[in-house]
Amino acid sequence: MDKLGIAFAMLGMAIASFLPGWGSAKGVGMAGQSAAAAVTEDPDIFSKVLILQLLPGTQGIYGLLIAFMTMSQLGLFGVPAEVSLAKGLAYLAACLPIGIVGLFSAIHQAKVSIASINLLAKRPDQLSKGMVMPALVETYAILALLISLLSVINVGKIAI
Amino acid sequence: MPEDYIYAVTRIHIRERNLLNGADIDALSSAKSFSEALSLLAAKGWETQLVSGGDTEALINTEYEKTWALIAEAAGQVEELNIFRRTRDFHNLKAAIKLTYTGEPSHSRARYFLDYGLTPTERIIQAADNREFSLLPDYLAKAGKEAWEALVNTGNGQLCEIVIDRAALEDLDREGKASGNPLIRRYATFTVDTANIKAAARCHLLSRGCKFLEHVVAEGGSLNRKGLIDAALGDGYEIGKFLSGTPYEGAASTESSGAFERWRNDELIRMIRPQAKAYSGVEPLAAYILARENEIAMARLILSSKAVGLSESAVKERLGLTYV
Repeated sequence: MDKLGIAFAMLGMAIASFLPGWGSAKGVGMAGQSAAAAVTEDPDIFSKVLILQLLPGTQGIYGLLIAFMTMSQLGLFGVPAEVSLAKGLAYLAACLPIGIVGLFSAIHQAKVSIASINLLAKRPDQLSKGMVMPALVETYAILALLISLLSVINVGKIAI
Repeated sequence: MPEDYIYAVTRIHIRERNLLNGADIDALSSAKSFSEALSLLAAKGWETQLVSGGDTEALINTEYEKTWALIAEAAGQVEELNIFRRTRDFHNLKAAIKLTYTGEPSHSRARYFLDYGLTPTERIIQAADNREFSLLPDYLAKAGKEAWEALVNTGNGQLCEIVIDRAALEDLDREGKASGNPLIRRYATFTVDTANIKAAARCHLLSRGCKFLEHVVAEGGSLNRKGLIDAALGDGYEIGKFLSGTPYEGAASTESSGAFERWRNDELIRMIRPQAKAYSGVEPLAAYILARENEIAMARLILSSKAVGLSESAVKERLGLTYV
């Protein structure tokens, strides 16, 4: 049963790194196509659209952070910790918020980023407005990160 | 796939800044002279240096070509947009047959043909010159043979045009129905239906008989073909009654061909306008092609009217909504 505990915890770690990473890769790729189009039409806009392209990339970083925290809690960098089945499932559950929210928020943020790139390409003076709109989508990725982070840190303290 | 053509769509949206908007069309139609109208178009990036005297054909063709060049550059070959390119093939077929019949020398033919068709222009010309229409793809071969025979047997260029126009509409209908894209399907049905309504109304005004109507009204679309033909053979109100309860009810209240054209263009623009906010997919590309065709047609109308000194009000009757 102890082996199953570590396996579930590792599954959680994989989800935390895989799903948001997938979403971010897709999101940055989508926004990148739009950014390249904007630069084709107006090369001076490069620095502005680059920021918008990068915004959907943050979810992948959040996922990576949670995956590292989980690995650290499991003692994968030093002495491996004892992980019961219940604790393993708890680690898995702790990783799910950033895994799922990270995936979907990255893709939705990319769509808003593309819309903002279109806005900037037509009205280059509207950078701040164009930044705020995709940044709002980030809120939900940050909330999920917070929940996952607090959960992963505190699972080890629970006596299960 | 919803994430397709993001690059192309962004480029198209940026280029939409250069489309003529309502204010531009008003300014153009209010221009005091042909040359003032040309200056306004030049400010919007139109190649007005191509205009020689009052002949705007080179300018108009160049603007059409620019649209397709941009689509080809940004999106490459998009199979779903071939439906628009096939229309150009039918135009080229019509030109090739007429030029062969009139014996126009090859060196002066180029300006009659449109680039970016699906079938190479050279092949269409070769087929017409040698009367070997079997060289052409199926969708052109039958129409080409029939149009040539109609022209040779009657010497009537209009009959040749009717044969090809009808074949083009029926091909558009088939391709539209086969397309998985809702906007393209809707556009094809709308185009076939409105062309049939226009043909039926014109035949009614000219008191044409049933046989002629059956010749010009294309099969396909969403309207009952027999019902439309019967309505055209009836009194002046029959077409209106036939259209009531259909999506084309608004066409019945138009009182002239100019008003009908305006209604038709406005409906088309309303159909494609939501695409101005889409971030990906084929639909915004199709909408841009149609928006460009609409603005080029408007500019052509205005320039022609300025060249012959037509009144501003007569032109404005035909000018409707713009995409941006």
